[in-house]
Amino acid sequence: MVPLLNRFIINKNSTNIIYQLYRNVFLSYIRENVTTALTVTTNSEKLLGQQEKDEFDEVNKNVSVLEELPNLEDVSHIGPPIDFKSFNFAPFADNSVVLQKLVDLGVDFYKIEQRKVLPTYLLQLNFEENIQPYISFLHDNGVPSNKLGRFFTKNPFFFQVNLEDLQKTLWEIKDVVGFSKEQCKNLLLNVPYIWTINPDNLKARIDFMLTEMELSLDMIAANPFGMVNRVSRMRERHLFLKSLGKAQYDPTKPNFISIRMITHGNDASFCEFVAKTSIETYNMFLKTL
Amino acid sequence: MLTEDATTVWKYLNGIICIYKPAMVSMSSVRKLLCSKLALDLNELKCRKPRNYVSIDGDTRHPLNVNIRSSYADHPLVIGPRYIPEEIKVRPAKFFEKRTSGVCIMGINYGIRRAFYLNTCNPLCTYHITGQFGLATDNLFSDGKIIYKSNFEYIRKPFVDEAVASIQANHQKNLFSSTGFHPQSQTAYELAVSGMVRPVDKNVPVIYSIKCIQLNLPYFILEVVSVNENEDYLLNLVHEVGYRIKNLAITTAVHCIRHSYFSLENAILKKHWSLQNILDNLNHCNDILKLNKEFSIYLQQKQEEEKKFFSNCNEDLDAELENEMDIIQSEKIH
Repeated sequence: MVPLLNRFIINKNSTNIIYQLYRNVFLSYIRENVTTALTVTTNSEKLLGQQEKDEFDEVNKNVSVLEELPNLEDVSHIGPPIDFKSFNFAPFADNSVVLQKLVDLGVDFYKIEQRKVLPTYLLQLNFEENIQPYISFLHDNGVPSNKLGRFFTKNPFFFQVNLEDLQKTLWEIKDVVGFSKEQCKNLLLNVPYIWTINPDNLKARIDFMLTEMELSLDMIAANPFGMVNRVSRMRERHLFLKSLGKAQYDPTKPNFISIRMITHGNDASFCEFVAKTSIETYNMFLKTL
Repeated sequence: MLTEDATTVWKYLNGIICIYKPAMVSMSSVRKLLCSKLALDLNELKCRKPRNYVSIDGDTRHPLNVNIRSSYADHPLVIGPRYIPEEIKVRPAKFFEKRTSGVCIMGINYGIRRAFYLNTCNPLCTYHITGQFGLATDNLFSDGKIIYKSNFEYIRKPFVDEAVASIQANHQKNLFSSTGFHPQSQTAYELAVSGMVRPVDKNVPVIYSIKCIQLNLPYFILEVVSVNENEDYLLNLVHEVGYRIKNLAITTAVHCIRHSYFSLENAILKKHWSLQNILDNLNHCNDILKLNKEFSIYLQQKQEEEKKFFSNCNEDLDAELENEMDIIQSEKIH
């Protein structure tokens, strides 16, 4: 009981209400075990000053200690304070409605807990006022509901953005893309992944195809699938074909092998259709690199 | 897999595994990749459910409601997935640097200790080192800046064999002289008869056998069996071979094909690193170690030593605790 008493906020106005609540709790204790309840009451009296004690005595002069007081007010809103420091969201999750609803949406708090200002900012939000309009905005712009959680984990400060500004910029972007759409259409449609690759990696891939596989730039541009693959995977397959004597990338000569054929599919299908060997020999070859 | 329960799988995830380390990938990234792969696969199995949360709420003037629901504080989205990569311990028995590829022994969780002892008993490692004549670079490897060039057409296989044999003879001679016995004495003879003489010092590299198995000018392949070597030492060795036949040589690939009892057949490729394959490999490696009596006896000895050491520690601790308890009790009585 004693640690519980310490955790409550005791204001001068709410002392009476809390006392009423505690009395009932103490009485239930007394019924079970008189000795423990006695020690608890002595400790609780220490927490109050002399003046407050006198006020309380005046109010409850004629009431017997063993009698249950009628509850006058609803005190369910009183609870322990949650303004302490924590290294993750776990201690707040069971009390905060916002966090619970965001978890239900699929927001991964484990990934964003290390950002410094975030927890205090997120806990201050109100779901209906601050979050719901953003969700409806995203829904109107075609974001499916199962991708909302992923979206908010990537942009947790999205709720700070002004919605009207966002709508304006969205229209502007659409106007600008109208010009470049036709130019980038082929690349974007075929391999949209290219625009998210790290430029250094992309350069390494193109370098490998130009120097080690001795392809021309036109061929690489015509078959952009080479740029999506890792260098290590390309190198393994290229060296295997070279050891078999099948590395022939010139389309004007017989037994031509295209970039698409090298990069496409898993190892088993590559061995079967392109290299025309078994997967075991390919694995044995990989262990000699 | 027979079970779908992650905790039972986690209990069996102790031991050593044999993997194929690709070239140009550092050991730390290999470790990270293994850990993240294992954690991912473990999380896909049946994990612990969130604990129950009991809340008593409602108007205090009326009887209160008791609600039981699964706790949000224990939800995987809030406190993270059940198994995280940092939790899984993976350490190599022998450290390979970035350019080395080949058989690599890794200890997982409690198997780290076994991997450590596998390295302390001076295991033999076999390498296939590919070199190239006629070039010298600033870091002795093919990816460095070229400093010198030379002609290599005159090189024949006997030249290389001669240079290589003299290196091996030198090492054998040094090994016997380092034991401190006279090479013509009876004890030196008994040592030589008893088996391979291992170096006492952990920092001295020793080559037991070195052969040129292929010469395809300008490229050549050396097969080296050695103890206590590292990548820098092997690069220098190739450079020395070039120097002995009055030419230049650089290394293009360092490839470990055998480590103690494990060879390339037991190693699993990078694309096969999954929980199921790793568990299979773990059992397989365990069987191989059990078959080897020498190592199992050595392991038992070490474990007994450890037990003695820790039991002594515990006795001291127990004695201290008993003393403290006595003092407390005597204070209470008084």
